[in-house]
Amino acid sequence: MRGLMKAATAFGMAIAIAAGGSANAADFPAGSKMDQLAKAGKIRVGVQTQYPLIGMKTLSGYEGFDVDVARLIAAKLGIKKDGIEFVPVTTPTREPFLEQDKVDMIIAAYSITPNREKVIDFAGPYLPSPSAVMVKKGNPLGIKSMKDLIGKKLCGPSGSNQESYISEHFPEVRKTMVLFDSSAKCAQAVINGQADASTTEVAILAALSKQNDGQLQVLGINYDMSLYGVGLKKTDDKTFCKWINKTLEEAYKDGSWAKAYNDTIGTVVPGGAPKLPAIGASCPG
Amino acid sequence: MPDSVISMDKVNKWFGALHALRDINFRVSAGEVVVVAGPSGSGKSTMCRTINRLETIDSGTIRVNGETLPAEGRELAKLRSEVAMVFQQFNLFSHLSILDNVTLGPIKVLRQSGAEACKEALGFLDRVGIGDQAHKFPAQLSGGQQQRAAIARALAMRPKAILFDEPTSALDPEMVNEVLEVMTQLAKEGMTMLVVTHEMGFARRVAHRVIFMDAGQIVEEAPPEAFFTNPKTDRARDFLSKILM
Amino acid sequence: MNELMGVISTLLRAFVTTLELTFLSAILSLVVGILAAAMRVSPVPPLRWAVSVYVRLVRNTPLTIVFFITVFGLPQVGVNFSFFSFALLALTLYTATFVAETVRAGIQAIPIGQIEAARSIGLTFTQVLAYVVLPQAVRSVVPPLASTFIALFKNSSIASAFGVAEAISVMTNMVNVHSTIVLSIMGATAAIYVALALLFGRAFTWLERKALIAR
Repeated sequence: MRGLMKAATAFGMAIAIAAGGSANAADFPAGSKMDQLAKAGKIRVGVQTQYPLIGMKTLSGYEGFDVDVARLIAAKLGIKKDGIEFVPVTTPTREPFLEQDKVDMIIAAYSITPNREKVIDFAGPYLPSPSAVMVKKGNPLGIKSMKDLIGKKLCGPSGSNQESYISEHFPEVRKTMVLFDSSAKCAQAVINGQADASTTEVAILAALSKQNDGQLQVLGINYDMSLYGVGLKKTDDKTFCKWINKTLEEAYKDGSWAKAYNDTIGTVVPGGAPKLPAIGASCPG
Repeated sequence: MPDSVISMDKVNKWFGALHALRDINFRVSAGEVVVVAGPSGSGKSTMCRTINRLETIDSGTIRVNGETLPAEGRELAKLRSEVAMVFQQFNLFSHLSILDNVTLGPIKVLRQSGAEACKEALGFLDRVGIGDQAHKFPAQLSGGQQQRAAIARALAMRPKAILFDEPTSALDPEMVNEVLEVMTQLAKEGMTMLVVTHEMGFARRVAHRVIFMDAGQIVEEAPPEAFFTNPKTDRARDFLSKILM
Repeated sequence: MNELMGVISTLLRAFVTTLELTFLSAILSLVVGILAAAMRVSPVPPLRWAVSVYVRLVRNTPLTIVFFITVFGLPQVGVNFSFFSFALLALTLYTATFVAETVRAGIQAIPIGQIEAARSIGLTFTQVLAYVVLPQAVRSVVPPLASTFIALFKNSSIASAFGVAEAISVMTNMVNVHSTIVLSIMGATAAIYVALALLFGRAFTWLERKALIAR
């Protein structure tokens, strides 16, 4: 409930910023994507639904850092809360949804990779999101590095960045990896002793270990320092992409970015809001 | 009465409110041919089926070879194998050849070897006149041939008695005789038979005794000559007048 | 195009796991399903009730939940297998209920007279089932069983969510890595599924024809 209150406050603030200043349909170049969205008063945002603290669908609606970032951006377009349509996306549907105009942007734990940049544009990055390893409380197998996971059952979400990254960089670990469609199932498998360790984004692991009070432990092994970006349809006109970059920078400067982080991921990952990496993935300058 | 193959004492059966069998008492001795006659719905088929416990009874005792018919299980299966049954609808196993129909019981119940059962089965099929049909499937045979195959299947069990439940009622008229001939031959060879039938000619020629049933009761029991020429009850007279027209 | 060919060869290797899962659980669910159908028509009431509860419960539960309970529930009570074995178990438990209902319908379609004839020559209940009822029941249910097993083939993809690297699991990974050809990868996967399902269909048609001849 407290999380919800916080989210609501963050959202209220976002509205306040929006109402207070920048957003006015007239401010945008006529015919630009921002202009279209602002005039329509509606935006469709693809989000994850099963990533705790990042993109999660609950009974009360969508929540998580990605969702808050989407609301920040929408607010700067002058779009009201009920003008945001969250569209659940999954790994295989992200690129097609953008290409087919099913969504206006995707903020869904979407790591920026050169391969993806061939088919879509990324604004941002808006979050560094390292992956980590989680084991049973007390680390009974004494795992200290990725090498210690060779021959062990490492559980990860299928079709995830982690699976791809481990295939490429730790092929020996990949051989005995088991894949589930959600990190929550991996956590359960570790608790049951069916898997030795679980891996995914550090924020998700932290959330899962908090949910399964006292049974799991996140290790300090970080790998795949991937960066999340805002997925956009690939176009020659980079106006919208650049505008989002500018908006993210503003949110970083005025503290609303850090607030969103502290309300979500920051509740379980110690160390405070990280430094925002240099912006300008697909649309520099 | 130890030499009774089949005996029924005070047997009663209800189908819901219908009193299907009322205090049935009768015996069939070894080598005897008993025909059960009566109007439809008189309970004669039901009585026949209780002897093999295809129908349960509500009170009374049925004995086969002096042994009381058990309710379920292996003992029942054993007694059943000693009293074979021939049905109105033949009831051959449609997925098996005629030969396999005849050998199934001997192999699985009597534990005969396949070769032995096969040899005997061909003998029985010859006896009922369809030795050349052994490798066909039931659907490829005429009704009369199917019923003769069913009789061979019954004979293969080396039964103490054979129950015939209206064996010719489902046959086209031209096929009735071929089946009755086989049955007559069996009777001559001394097989114990209980025959539920409307074939009064057969009863007159072959039966040692006729039992006349009506409304679930045995109304009259007599040697065929006496029954056909001088029935004692009105109900039997009435029945005979209708059926012998 | 080269990229897609590489993906397809990886996918085809994953389909080996899908086929293993499908064939093994098809055989097991045929055995379990026929046993369950036999128990459902048995003269022993507790057997009938037990099977009836099992069939109604599992058949009407979404397969994902059957998987969930099998994969995560059983270890809680000390039963722990590999994820592949768990997937096999879940698929078998689920598919067997459909086999049981189909075979039961097949049993009920057999003329009662044949069963009476079988009993009258002294066959026990089990023998009647084994030699007279089931051989005919199974033949008459070849076509409906074909749909059940093609459904099983596709249902095996649920195992991708529970630790088995079958076709869909590998497809999801391929999609993540090869983001430029997402639709082609999915199309190729679908095409392989369809081709294999059509092949099964043909095999069953052939079986059905054989069953008809043997009647």
